[in-house]
Amino acid sequence: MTATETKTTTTNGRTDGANGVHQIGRSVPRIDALDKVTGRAQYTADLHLPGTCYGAFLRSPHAHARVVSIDTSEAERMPGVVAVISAASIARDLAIVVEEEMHAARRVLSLFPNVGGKVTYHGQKIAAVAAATKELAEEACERIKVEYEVLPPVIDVREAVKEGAPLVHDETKPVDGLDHGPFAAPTLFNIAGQNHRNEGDVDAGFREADRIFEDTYVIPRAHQTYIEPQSTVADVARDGSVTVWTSTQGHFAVRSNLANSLRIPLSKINVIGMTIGGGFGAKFGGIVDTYCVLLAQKARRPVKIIYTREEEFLDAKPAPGAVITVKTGVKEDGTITARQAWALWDTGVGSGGCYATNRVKGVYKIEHFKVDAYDVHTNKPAPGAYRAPGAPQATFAGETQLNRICAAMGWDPVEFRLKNMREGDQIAFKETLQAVADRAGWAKRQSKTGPNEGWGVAVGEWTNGAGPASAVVSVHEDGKVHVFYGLMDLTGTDTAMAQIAAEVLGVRYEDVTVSRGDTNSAPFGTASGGSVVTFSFGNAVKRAAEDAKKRLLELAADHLEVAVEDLELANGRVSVKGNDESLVTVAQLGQMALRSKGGPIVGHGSFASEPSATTTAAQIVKVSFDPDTGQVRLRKLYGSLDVGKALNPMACEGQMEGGLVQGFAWGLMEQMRYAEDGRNWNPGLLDYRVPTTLDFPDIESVMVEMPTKNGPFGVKGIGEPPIAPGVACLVSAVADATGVWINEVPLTPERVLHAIKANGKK
Amino acid sequence: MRDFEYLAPRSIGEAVALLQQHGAKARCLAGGTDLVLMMTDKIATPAYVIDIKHIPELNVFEWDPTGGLTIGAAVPFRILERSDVVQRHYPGMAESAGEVGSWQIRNLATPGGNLCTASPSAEIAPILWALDAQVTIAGPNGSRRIPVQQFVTGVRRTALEPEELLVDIRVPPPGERAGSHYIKLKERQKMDIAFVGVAAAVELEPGDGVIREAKIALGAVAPTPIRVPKAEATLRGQRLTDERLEEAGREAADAAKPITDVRASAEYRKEMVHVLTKRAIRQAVAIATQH
Ligand SMILES: Cc1cc2nc3c(=O)[nH]c(=O)nc-3n(C[C@H](O)[C@H](O)[C@H](O)COP(=O)(O)OP(=O)(O)OC[C@H]3O[C@@H](n4cnc5c(N)ncnc54)[C@H](O)[C@@H]3O)c2cc1C
Repeated sequence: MTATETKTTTTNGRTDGANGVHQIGRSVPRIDALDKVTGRAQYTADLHLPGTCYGAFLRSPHAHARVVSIDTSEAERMPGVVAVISAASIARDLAIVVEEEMHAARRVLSLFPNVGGKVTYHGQKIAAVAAATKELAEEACERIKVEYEVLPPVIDVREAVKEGAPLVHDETKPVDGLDHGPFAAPTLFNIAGQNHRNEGDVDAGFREADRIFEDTYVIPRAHQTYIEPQSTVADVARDGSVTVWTSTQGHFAVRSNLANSLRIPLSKINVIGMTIGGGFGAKFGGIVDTYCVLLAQKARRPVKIIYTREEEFLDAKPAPGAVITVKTGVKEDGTITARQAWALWDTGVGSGGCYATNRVKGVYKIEHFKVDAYDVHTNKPAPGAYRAPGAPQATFAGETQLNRICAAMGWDPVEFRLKNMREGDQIAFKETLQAVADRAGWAKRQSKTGPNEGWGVAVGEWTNGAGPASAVVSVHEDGKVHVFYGLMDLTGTDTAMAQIAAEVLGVRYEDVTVSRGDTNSAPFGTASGGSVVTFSFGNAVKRAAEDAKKRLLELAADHLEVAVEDLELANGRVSVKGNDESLVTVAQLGQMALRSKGGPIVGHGSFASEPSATTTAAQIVKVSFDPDTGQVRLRKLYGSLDVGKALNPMACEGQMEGGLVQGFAWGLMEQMRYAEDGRNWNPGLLDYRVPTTLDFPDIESVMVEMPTKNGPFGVKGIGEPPIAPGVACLVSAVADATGVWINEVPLTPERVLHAIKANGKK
Repeated sequence: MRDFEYLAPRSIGEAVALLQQHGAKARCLAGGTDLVLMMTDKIATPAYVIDIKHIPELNVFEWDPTGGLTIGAAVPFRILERSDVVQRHYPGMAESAGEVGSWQIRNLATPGGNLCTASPSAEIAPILWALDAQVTIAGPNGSRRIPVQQFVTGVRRTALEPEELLVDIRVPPPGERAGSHYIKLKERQKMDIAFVGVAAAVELEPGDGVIREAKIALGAVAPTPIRVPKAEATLRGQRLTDERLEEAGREAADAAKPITDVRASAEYRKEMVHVLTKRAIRQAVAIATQH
């Protein structure tokens, strides 16, 4: 389904020596494929330590309530129950252990609500129990008696900011409001964070415009719905040192979280990252691991906690919902003169979202741009990252409105974008959009459109992050190469790293093995999120392999009695340039090294952080809808992405398709719902709908390669961007089909039918 | 899940004896696709689980042109869905069976279990209502047969006594020129629950387009599946016209008493009953016309 469209021929940073047989750019199968399909891969739930007991939580049935009393005595007395923890028990235990470290202690104390304190969302943890069996632990939780004084909840951000709204956190101070925009007011309440950005002068920009458009977009919370739920096993040794086996995107991140929140010295914690069954931003720790360690400390036995799917929905870290108003000024000639956005992000009892509002600007030349955005507390769990955090929400607003502008002003949405897109060094916005438009046959789409069908296009942007990474690459006596590091493989990155090592060392991908160390053994590595991995670890592995290569060449130079410069490394051997007879194999060098002065061949590579370049994901969809029922179907899907350099095209395609599906699913059916009383209304996969393969047509993916200078071989991080455009793309296609702009998602059949009728289109 | 004892009787007599012995502490197990989830969620906590899949009578799947179709209570949906007989004589039933869950689910789940769970959205119910199916029930006093419409008495309630079990479902043979159709309204293509289910079964007079008999049943819009006698009367003895269809659709919508819940509003469901009833009738008539 994929074709790689190489737009540029420079292969930045390409190493010599591979002699035509490149190990990068090959769609090799995943290094862990066999383990996964045969069930050999070890997930946290597969771990059975002797003496393990099982953890369970008692959760608040109310969205907002004061805790009047908690009585754990009956649960504690139950045979088979080995530990019960709650705010009171932690306070007691802490009083005995430490009195000096009050700051750290406060963090531990905040893990559960105190008597007299509040629960602030449905499903919040009140207490935890470890018992001989999971059933017993659950039963013990049911025997914990809690009295509540129920308080009115606030669930809609537009209500939450108003004076008189219930305060989610009693201590949240009111903030000065705005004198403009959709939620203008002298004072705003329940504000968890703010982001104000001002480029140029939007008022002047709007004065220049011939037409001004203003729309408000509403998108609900979405859950990442990784297949494997949050899960941890913890064990505490006699000396207090802690071992944690967990499903995480970053075992070093888990280690530091635990150290900080439980005031355990870093050196006394070892985190073992198990095979992970999906994370998408929600597995950086803190949801179960902290509690699991606390229970294990008290139980003095290993404790295992595996979340249920219901717990996932009640109490994990879903993506925040948002209400975003966008105002855009456009000239008759199609120039965008100004853009302004106001946003309220539904960040529940936490924060984190409002900065993403800046993405409303998109990849366009816009001189005057202004954002006023807020994180707003509601009685819902705190949000987390979801693939490209905040991008689908902001892109929904920005890109849907661009399409509405095009429809209103008679512009072709692709042409309009090409006209307004920024250009620059290492970026390929226009090429990427053009590539998908060509693949979809955009220009001729009218001839392929039946009644009740429509087309949509949208573009998302993202720049990968970078973080500290390190790796060790060894060459063994059999000529095989081993990569060792502290990287959590979520998406097939071990495979890409093996390809990089193979490419540098002139061996085949199949001759490279990879292993991940725990936090005690591996050198530090940043967590797998923010599309950092291939960029950062890729550099570390490349440097480590180059370091090993240097040793190989030195050994060979010694052995063949020529200068290093006269040697080349390829196909598992080092030979003298221009003399095929004079050679030594990598295996022989691996053996010689053992007897050499320098010892075994081990290369080290470290990377700190360097900037990357922005990439774009462009998508096109054709939809159809049923005018009598409102049901929308996806008929054709096309995606393009500037990947910088595709180390493994098949893996890139996997990322492109996965992200695209998640984006469209959010627009089509995914939504976390909260009832009037603030309770989670659909805490399960029956009523939180994620699509199945039958809901999607085949996806055609086109890769564009515009290398970035700092990425290994020109790589850009690509895990996140494909989720960004989907919602906007879908909504625009449905508008094209129905003639109605539906500014709230998901597009459930009922919502679509209602909108069509309200607009007199039927 | 609580611990339980697994029992596998080999005859109806043995099964009834076990049910008598253990009373409310026992539950029958067919495919387990409802029961096991109920046990995991502790909605059901049986001490004895009686697997009915080893009883010969419950595995019967037989067609006979005069007696009709017998579907043993242990026969899974996938057999129905793929059966030539069902596809030919009861196309609406094949549709309905094929709408349940996924292949994996349909290889386990049974129409019998679907009826016994008696959920308002039970997939197989509307078509069985429309086809005037009957069910055979066995108990300490032998067996009895009742119309399926009397089997489901409320949300998750059936006519089964604690010591009784469902033996089979009997569907009368269709007339000469018959057709049936089932439509499930859902958000996902598969693996979804019915927001509304509509079944229509019709029979045409020989040689022309006059509707001799029409039966319409709705699922997920009332505590139990319902028939719509008024709409049936509107069609009976008539040719299918747009006006008749519209009237029947409206009557079906009027008969529906849906609720608003997390899946859809009552208004939307009512409206969809209208739309889908028309579609189901039209399709059932189209199939009948081919005979
Ligand atoms: C993923 C998934 C998807 C699903 N999709 C659908 C769907 O699309 N549509 C739908 O309607 N349902 C669906 N279901 C629900 C379920 O599969 C059906 O209701 C199924 O028909 C139940 O049949 P079973 O054989 O598995 O019953 P079981 O779970 O074995 O039994 C169900 C109930 O009936 C009782 N019982 C079973 N047999 C007898 C008997 N012979 N005599 C007396 N009592 C008996 C049991 O004690 C139990 O109370 C789905 C379930 C799952 C898990």
